[in-house]
Amino acid sequence: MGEPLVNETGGRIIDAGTHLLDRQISDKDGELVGKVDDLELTFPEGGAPGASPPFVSAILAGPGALGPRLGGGVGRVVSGTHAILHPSTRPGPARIAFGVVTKVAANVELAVSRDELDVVRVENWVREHIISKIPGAQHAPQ
Amino acid sequence: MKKLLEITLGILTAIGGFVDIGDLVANAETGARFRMSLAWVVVVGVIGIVLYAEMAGRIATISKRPVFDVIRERLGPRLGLVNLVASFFINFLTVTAEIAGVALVLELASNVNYLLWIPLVALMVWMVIWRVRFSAMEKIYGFLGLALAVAVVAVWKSGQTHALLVQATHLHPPATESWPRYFYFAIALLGAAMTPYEVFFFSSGAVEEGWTPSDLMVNRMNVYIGFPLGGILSLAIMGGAAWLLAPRGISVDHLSQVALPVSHVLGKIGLVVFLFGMFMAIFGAALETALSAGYAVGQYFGWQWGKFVRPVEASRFHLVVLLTIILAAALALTTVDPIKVTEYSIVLAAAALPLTYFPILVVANDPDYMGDKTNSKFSNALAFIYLLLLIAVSVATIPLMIVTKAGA
Amino acid sequence: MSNPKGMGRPTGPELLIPRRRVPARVHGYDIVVRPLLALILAPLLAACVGPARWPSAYEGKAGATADQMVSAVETGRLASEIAAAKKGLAPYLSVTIADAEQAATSIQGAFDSIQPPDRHSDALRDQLDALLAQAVSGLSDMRIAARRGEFAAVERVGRSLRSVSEKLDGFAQQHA
Repeated sequence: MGEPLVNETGGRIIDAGTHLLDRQISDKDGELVGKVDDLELTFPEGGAPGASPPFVSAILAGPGALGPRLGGGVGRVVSGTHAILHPSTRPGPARIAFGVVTKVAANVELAVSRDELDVVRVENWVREHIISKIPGAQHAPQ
Repeated sequence: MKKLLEITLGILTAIGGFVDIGDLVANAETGARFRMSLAWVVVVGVIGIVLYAEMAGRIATISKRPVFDVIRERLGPRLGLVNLVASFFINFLTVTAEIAGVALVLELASNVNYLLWIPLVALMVWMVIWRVRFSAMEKIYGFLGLALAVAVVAVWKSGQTHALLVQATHLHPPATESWPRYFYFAIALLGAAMTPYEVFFFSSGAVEEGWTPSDLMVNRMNVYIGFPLGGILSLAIMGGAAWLLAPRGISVDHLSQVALPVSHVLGKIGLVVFLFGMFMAIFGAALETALSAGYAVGQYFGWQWGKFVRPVEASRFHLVVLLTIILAAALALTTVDPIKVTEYSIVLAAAALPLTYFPILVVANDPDYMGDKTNSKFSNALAFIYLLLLIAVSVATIPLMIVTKAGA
Repeated sequence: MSNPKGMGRPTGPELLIPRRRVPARVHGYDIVVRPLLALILAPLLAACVGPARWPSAYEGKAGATADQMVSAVETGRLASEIAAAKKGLAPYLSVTIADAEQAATSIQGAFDSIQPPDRHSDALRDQLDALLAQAVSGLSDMRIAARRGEFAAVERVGRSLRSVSEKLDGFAQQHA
């Protein structure tokens, strides 16, 4: 593979397509959060000519982000599911600010615990309303 | 010494775990209609699954990522989703067939209608998944499924082994059968031997059990020795049907007929052991396919999955597994013929094999994931030939299904 | 450097990072739904039993029916032989025989529902029907005896079904 590319500030250059998108996200405890379903790009100065190039400002995860990426009728179904399950009326996709990313390796690793993120909303709901009601759900891992 | 014990146990588990209702039905039906002229397909299938299961296990061990995780990364979300939907649907049919299969075995032992057993079987499957430790679950059912080896004893005791081996060299359909049906059954046998869920389960299992590179050798032994011996079990089922059922014009359309050769040769004890082995092997397969449903969906969406965390920590995963079991049992309760469901599940599985195997081959060659443990040139060449074969099979399936009226 | 596909956001100036080539957009419907429909419909089409318009087609179906019935009768007979040799278990043999009877009944039903195209075919139908009826009734008797645990009766019926089996086989050979 060769030496990793490095830019002028010493940061590693990676290909967002191959190393970020669709990667597994794990939190600071190594627990699984979701996938990098999409990326939010920010254009400084609104993309005017001469402005700095755009940068990745956040990771978008969950059905709200995956829907538009899938496109077509299927994508609309996925986005629609997200809209139905989300408490607010016009929800955007779940967003993880890129600042909390500590490492981009096999997984995209975060500095925070997944409980602090919006993307685990559905998991929490399923846990509270369904799984935790089954006896033995709190049992040690098998 | 301990290592040797571990390897032996792994091999025995792999043998018993190889056979499920698809193998039982496909091998018995084929033996009854085509005698041993399709035995070569079992050999081809075993080589194929050995090749790809080893790769999937190696990928999961080195990169710590199981198959569906990798499929989405490699194919992108859209093709990955297509893959997921197709695999999930076929896997779902397989879960239905396995649950119905366990119920059928209980019917054979009790003379109580299999429909009445289905809810209990579904509950047992779910409870074992919920509470029994992964490694124990895999080992117990795989090891006990070894009781099916009594079918090998039955063939040997019938004195027909030599004749059957000779028959196996006749690579053409018998006079009563046509070439299209010959190839249709070949596809079914291949699908039964190379089931995709085996790969999902195997690679997810590697992560569940926390395999490290030092476990690679054990993994290889299990696969290289265990699966071929499992193939011998399949061939024994085919052989029994070939020497006892075929000359009488009996074609297999009920699970009860599969046990006739063992009963005929070995009597009551042989029959009890065989029924026990069938129960364990099919039940084990029901566990694997139900878990595979959760693995596939959870790994595509990046959810926390697996039995290696507390159930509350993998809620959506467990919900998918639970719903799959419930819906599969519901489908089985509609009195749809379990043998027909089995047949369709293995034929469709054969048609869908390239979807699963192609990404595995790609990733197994990628040093980003594999470090220095990428495929050797030999295994690459072999795997590539197999992929071409599987694509040919995939293309031929629907036309053959229509021409032969689904093997009727 | 082009706009990376699948980002979901319009981009003005180009992105820093070149993206690998992504396959052209494929519609989910084409890839998923159509093949799945084909996979699901194909077996349904295959399972349709059509009417036999030509006498030769009818004869072929009659022959195939006889063949299938041989399988059911022989299964029952094999079970009765295993019972005779005391090599089976009662529940297992009961279920095996019941399965064979069930198969026989549905084979008979499927054949009877086919419209014979002409008078000659009528004669064929009568001939086969007689055999089918004997087979079904024999297997029924066997099933009843098995459920009652009367395996001596099972053996007896099994022996008596031998001639039915041979006639069905002969019929199948003749009209294949």
